Amino acid sequence: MERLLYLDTARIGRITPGAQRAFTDYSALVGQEGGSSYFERFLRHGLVDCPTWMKDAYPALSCWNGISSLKESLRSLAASHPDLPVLLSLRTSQLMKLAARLMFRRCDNVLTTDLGWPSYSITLEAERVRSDATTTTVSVKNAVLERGATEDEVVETICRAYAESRCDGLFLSAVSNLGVRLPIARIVRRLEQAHEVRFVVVDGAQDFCHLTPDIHEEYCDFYLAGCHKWFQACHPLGLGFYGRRRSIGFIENTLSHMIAGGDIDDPLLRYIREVESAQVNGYSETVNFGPLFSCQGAIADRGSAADRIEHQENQRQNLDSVAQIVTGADWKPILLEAGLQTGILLAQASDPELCRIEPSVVRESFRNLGVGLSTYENGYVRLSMPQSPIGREDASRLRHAFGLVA
Amino acid sequence: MGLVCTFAPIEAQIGVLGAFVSILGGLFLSYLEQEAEREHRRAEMIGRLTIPLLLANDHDIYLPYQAICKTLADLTKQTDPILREIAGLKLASIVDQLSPLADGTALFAGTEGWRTVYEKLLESADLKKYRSVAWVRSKDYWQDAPGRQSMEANFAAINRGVRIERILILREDVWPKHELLPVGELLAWVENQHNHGVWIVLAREPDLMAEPGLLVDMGIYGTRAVGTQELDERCRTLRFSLTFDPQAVRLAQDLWDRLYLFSTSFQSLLDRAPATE
Repeated sequence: MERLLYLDTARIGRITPGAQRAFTDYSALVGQEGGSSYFERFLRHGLVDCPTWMKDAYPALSCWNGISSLKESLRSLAASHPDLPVLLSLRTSQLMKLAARLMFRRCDNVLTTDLGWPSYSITLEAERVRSDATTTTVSVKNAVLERGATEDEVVETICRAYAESRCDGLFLSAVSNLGVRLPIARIVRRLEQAHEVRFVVVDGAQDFCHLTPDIHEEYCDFYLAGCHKWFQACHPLGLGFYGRRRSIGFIENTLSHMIAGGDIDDPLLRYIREVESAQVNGYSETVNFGPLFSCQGAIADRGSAADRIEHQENQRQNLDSVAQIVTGADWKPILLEAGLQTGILLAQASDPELCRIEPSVVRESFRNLGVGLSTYENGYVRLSMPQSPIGREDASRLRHAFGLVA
Repeated sequence: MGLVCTFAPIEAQIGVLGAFVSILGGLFLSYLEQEAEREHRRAEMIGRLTIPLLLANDHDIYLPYQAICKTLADLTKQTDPILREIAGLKLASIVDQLSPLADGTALFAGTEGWRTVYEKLLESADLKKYRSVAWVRSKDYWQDAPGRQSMEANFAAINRGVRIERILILREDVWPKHELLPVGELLAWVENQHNHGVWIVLAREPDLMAEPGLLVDMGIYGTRAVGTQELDERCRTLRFSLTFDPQAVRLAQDLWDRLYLFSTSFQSLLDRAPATE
């Protein structure tokens, strides 16, 4: 089978071996047990609470020790405090609805940027209309990608707009889908010195397991992420981290109300809350538990904290190497200032003819040459750096592909 | 007259002509006077009709108007002077009660009945923001059944998308100077509102002593109305006035802004509070 140099993790990460094995064994277990009492035991406490033969039959599920254990591992990955709440949902959009509701219960005017994810912007807008509030959208994308704005300039632009528009809340993407990192902690700290910052939501979809979220620094009230991109668990699973003293009760209360009123309709989120409050409704909707196990399997593949630091260093070095390769192939890499750079590299074709070609055609061409990446209008491509070093063979393949597609 | 014109000397003829002109002038002046009187009466009649015509377009007001007119017409048939005196007093009282309403203000004295109107305002579809200043002069503030019910109306409004902001003016005994957060049961009351989504801001009553105009108990319902409450020492309502006047709303907003300068958000206090508090 042809090996693919996969540089499209910002779209969807390739499932890790651990996640794959865990999901396979989960399928086998359900094939054997269905919804038996053994399955329920396993779901709540893991294989330790099951007959010995099950441990032998489903070895890849030995990492599963129940939902609370999974949450503990996720907190650790997000650098959150060990005892703070984590929400798990089958759909991230459900958590985004919660985030938008929280924002506009507290805020009159929410600042966001043009680096946000479009579907999240739609959810935010719907809630804004419901509350007759205001959204201030600051343009930073062109300044960063085309004019090479620095981290200081980005912070200055956002803070000035916040003050001028008399905003009182923030909805920001920690890392945009185009690979721009926003220094959110720095922005929030600076704003808090002179202004009221009522609520901060961070979209960490491209940040979680890519850079290092620093939620423990308490600069945001709600951090939203998912498992199918850089975390590489494949099966979508929404994650919501929170727990600041100032907003924990408010979030819990709003969530309970939205679930009770049907504004949030996610069977997994509902089930877990029922389990945690020991009030399981035996007649509720059947839940797809599969994503929990691929998630747990992917955690085992994340390695230690030291490994994660090494992964980031590898990404940085890969980015430098790939930037040189694309430059040599007559493509133009978009290199950002260190404070804004991530493990995502954007590059643009120098040939005007290529800039006019349909993005899907360019993407297909790269795939045919053994490279997976994302493509956009005007000859842009997005390359997500792998967390292990790019070897000589892959570098050669990449040089070859960019040379041919150019 | 004909003989004079034919046979009398010229002086007599001139005299007769003068008399004739005088008579005609007198008749003309008399006509003008009568016409002015008729015009005056006509205007008076139209003036009387203006009110019913104005009210005829306002169904809600016209029906009671008709009922009152009929009652007054019936009253004219009563001849006993004592009965008419009682009726006069009653009518004066009704006019006294209605006059403020006509000026855009509803008054409630010595009753919690204002809460019905308060809740109706919170339920109105066009209300998207409600700001209130609560001068908490005792631990009993809004702790009785009507108070708790009104608080539930606040929470229901928040769930419908209304943003609620509340400045709490707290006395030294419920928020001692050396304490970061309010103490006792009041803290639970404050935190409950905060958790339900009310944006809570706290001000210390002693800090406002130099600004007595800021010591108020009021609510600003969007840009629609302002409610002002006067309470006794046990926080029972003495008087509640609700004014539907844009100018009054603007003044209340100014007052809110000034009061906000003396205040601290509850959220920022929680940021500074130890986790165990």
